[in-house]
Amino acid sequence: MIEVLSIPPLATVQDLGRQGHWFQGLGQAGVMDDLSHRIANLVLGNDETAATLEIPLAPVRFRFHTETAFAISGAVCNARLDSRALPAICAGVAKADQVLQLKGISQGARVYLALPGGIDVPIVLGSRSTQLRESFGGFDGRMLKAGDQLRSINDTWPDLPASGLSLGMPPLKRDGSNDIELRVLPSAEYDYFASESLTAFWSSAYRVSPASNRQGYRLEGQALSWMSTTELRSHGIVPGIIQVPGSGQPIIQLADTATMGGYPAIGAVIEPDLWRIAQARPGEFLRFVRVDLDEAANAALEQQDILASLNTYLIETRELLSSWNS
Amino acid sequence: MLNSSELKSLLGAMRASRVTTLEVKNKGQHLRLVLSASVVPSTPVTPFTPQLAISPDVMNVCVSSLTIGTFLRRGIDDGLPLLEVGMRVTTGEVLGYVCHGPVRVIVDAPADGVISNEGPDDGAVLGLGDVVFELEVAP
Repeated sequence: MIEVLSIPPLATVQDLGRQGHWFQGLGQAGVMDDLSHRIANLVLGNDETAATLEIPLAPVRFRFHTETAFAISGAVCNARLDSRALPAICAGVAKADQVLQLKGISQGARVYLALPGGIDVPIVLGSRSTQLRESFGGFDGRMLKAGDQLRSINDTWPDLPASGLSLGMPPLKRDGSNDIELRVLPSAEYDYFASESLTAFWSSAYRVSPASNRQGYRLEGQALSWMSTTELRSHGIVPGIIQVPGSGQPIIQLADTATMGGYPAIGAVIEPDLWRIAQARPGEFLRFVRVDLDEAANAALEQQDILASLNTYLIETRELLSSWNS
Repeated sequence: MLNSSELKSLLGAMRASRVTTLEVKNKGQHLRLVLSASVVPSTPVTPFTPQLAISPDVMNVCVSSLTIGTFLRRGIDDGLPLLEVGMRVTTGEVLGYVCHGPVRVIVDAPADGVISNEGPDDGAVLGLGDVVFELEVAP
């Protein structure tokens, strides 16, 4: 068990989301960065659906009440176990009374903390995710606060070297680029945007506004204009949809998106790139790269392959280490 | 090639640094030493301390690889500062990684000390027990 000693607002327990309730007007919630969440779970031998703690703000301090394995992944957060500095992605075993600190996020935007078997909170409507707007799920339906105690589902874990493990992750930005590239499929209203707006959308960078959160990221850049004078009826939207309200400044809907929206959508960020948005900080620039359905499907397969390969390497590494000590 | 005292010392060093096989070739002679797993200590980190001291006040401690893989310096993409010769490190501090694909086994400092060598190049292949870093440690 770990106790939260101090934590800023907005840290919530999340898993891969609450599926199947869209038709009832209930969004899916779930982690913003599914890749970091899956990696933190994999390294502890957890199922990828196990709940982790999503932490968007630091500094944070936890005390381990019992010896427990843990993993952190995602943003670079100047993590320390007592006085020992930890790599951004790390798995190890903390002894009772050791304190894990995330002193400050310097690259990326969200850290994920995994415990053996996952964080033990009740399953509500098929998920352990916190539904913040509706105040249920996760840890009492709310953000964590000092004094909260998190229990792991398991009290055993796979062998880890005493020094700990770290992992390599795909880079957030392409080599030499200052901007985060997102692959985008054109949406249903795409053809109703002015041609100069489409050119601007694909060729210019958009800055992440400070008015961004789990519901959506507001962007600032060249304004986009819609040619049609017809008013749209509200229709279904999903995480990744890029809407363009009357201001012409795009909004990317994310994990806590509503299920319906009435703004025209110019495109949709493909699912394998949603983790990149989750790790974008206000002030960073995003660029959109057009892909087709085949390319989007291939990207999804590539991400599955990365995770499958990582799991294979983890198993092989554990077997190697075990063979030295047998 | 080696007298019994040297052989004993070499076997001790192999146990300490968890090297299970060692081959020595010299002037047409060939010696192959193999330790069975049962005589290799199971503790994950056992610093190998060579007899040679840098000065009467300083001992040189070698930091060994815990597994087989390729070396990666710390500080490339992990949020930690790059390691430099002469840098003071503390027990348990992350010094680098031995990588098996994307999985990185942390190489940490077995004692407080000062880094006295540059360490391998990124991508260098390391075996179990290979020396990764040397630390100057106060005895």
